[in-house]
Amino acid sequence: MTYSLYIAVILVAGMGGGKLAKKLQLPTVTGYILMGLFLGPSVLNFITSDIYYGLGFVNELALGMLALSVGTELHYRVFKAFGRNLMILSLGNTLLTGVTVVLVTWFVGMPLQYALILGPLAMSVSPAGVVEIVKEKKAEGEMTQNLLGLVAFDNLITILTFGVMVSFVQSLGNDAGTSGLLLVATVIIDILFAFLVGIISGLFVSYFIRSEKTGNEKLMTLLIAALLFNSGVAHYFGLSPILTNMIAGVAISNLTSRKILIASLLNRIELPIFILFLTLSGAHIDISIIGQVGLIGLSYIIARSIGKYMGIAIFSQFTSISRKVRFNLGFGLLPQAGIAIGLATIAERSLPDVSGAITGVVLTGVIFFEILGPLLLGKALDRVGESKV
Amino acid sequence: MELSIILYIAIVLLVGLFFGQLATFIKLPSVTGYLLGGLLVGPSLLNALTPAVLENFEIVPQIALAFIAFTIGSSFKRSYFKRVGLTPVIIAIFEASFAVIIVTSGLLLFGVELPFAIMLGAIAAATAPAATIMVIKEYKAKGPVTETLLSVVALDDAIALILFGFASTIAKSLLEVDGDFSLFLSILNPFLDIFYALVVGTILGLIMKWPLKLFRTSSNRLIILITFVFLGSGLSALFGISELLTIMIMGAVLTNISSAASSMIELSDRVTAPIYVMFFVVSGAELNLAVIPSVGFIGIAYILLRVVGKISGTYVGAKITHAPETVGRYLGATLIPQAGVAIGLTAIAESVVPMYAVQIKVVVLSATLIYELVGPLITKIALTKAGEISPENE
Repeated sequence: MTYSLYIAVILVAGMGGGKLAKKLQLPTVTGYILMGLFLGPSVLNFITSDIYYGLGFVNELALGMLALSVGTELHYRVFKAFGRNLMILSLGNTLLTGVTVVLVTWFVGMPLQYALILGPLAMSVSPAGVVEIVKEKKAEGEMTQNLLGLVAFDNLITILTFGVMVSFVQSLGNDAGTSGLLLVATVIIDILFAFLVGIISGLFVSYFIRSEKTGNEKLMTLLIAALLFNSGVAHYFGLSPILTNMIAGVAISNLTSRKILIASLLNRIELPIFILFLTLSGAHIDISIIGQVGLIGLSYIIARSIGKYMGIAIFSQFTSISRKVRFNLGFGLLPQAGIAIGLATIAERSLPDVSGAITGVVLTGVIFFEILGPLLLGKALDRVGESKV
Repeated sequence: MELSIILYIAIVLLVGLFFGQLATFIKLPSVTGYLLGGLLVGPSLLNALTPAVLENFEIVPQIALAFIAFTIGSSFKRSYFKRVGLTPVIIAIFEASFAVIIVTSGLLLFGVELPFAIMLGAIAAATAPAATIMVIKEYKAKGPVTETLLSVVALDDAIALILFGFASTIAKSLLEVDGDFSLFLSILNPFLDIFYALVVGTILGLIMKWPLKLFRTSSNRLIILITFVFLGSGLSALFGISELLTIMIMGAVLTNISSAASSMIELSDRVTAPIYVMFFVVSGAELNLAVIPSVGFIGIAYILLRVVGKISGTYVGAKITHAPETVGRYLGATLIPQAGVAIGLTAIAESVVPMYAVQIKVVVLSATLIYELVGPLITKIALTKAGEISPENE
């Protein structure tokens, strides 16, 4: 069978899964993922891991699109209006989540150096999970606004912390202390380099958006070219493709103030790409891993949930966020998927001895958070009265 | 470290956008820009896109042509045929057979051996619709020539296959290469292929109506469109039938039975821009400049004779059917581009007349090069002269 046939079948199946989920009052995202799980090696093995890697391009494109659109949320006006709140909430919840996850997983038996990596991984939030639910509920209001900003902030902090942590752990393995410092320096250089790549491509795209002579078809092509460029360059130099694209999004959003235009350009192709991406992500989940990581996986889930929820509940006391939202906003940060898996794979590649322990735990978490997370977020939006459907 | 395929896709897109813009700047069709950009970065010149890299793009032409076929098929409305009757069918038959006859007889006059001349003639019928469609879209061309062009191009594919079947049968029997070769089967085969394409395309078109009833938002419908276009492409690859034909028929069936069909073209336009850019840049990269020096007299004769055949065939066909005058005059010129199908037929032709394999390849490849680079511009000029491109779009 050719890839075109696979794509056709995966699209139909994913769409069917989404429709079914909707009938059962579950979020469509959950439907795509469960359908993928069903088609994947865990059950039917229709989407074999060869197919998964053969369609890897879809993952790159989807992650790039997500990172870019998350980045566009970080407009300076958002900073002005909500900057203080978002900063406090984001630093608060990621710090609490990171520390709780490191301590708890270490306590139940994860070697410390791996627990240190799980910490930053736990901080990440799935933009797809959040954005899809917000769209589905047509949500608007205080919670939605803060949530979208938080997703961007949290992931930014995740990526930065993750980079530093990986090189720190790498240096733990080395006896020579100086090389540890050197590694931290490399990480900082990598992050700066990623910023540079993102800013340059962002400037480039902004120029064409601002000139207003370029038609939308060409702009979309340009945007896709730019985000694939960001991912490609990031892979080539070992940087984070999510960071380069996010920075590009920040740059475009602030240079043009045309967040809506970017959203509508991406919106043209978004749904098919995301259905493929999420269904494939589902297919990539290996059910048997749950048993293997058992207790650590469970404690990771509990620690992350507590960290995210309590982080928001506690630190929102220091912000101007309304009482009603304070105790619901935390649910919005639970969905976790692509970014966490992507970073876990990078960690495994950088730390050769891990052999699946980190990915196993993260995947267990993703199964839980990606299936229940959107559901909890949907309910939370209903409770604060921001759902418009 | 090897550049990843993602980065190559980005490069291909950026090259396309840049050269497309450059082309528009000097009033050339963007397609020409994409192709030239591809040619520049491709193996023939800079070799930034090496043949190994280009292999990764194999799926792109397949998908691009599938969407183009769907666009063409969707223009086949019953109301249109009621109005113009058999005009496009007759024009298509004439332009295709004239191309075959004039190329074959012309080459014979120049002293080319009969089987070789027949095979080149057979390939001459094929037309590549992609670049032409792009020109129509870019300049928003409208009018009788454009209208007829769409349906002639669609029929052309089927007719070219049939003519090629006949011609290769004649060439084979002239050579008597195979002991167990069946005259009947090789005439029948193209008809069978067309029949299968008809069946698969019709079934897909009929099925496609139902999900379109169920899903009404444009995002959902986009997924249905992509699913069916990919299904058509995948299934025709699976059964070894013409992708163009299958999907055209799918589009034609759908457009006549579903009220949702009119929104499909708009949806496909929303997503296909990057695919088309990639497709033409890759096609440009695959053009082979190295064949030019060896093109020789036969090659030049083929290139010119085919143009004469297409233009005169169209003229005669249009006269017989009393089509509008502009159709007879300008339609032929828009049928000049030749690409994928011709190259595909070359492979078959080489197996029919193995002793001429090298020559056939050189002739067809150099013709493709010329036609692809000049074709879009000629199409633009022809449509402008026919008064179907309004000055503000030019």
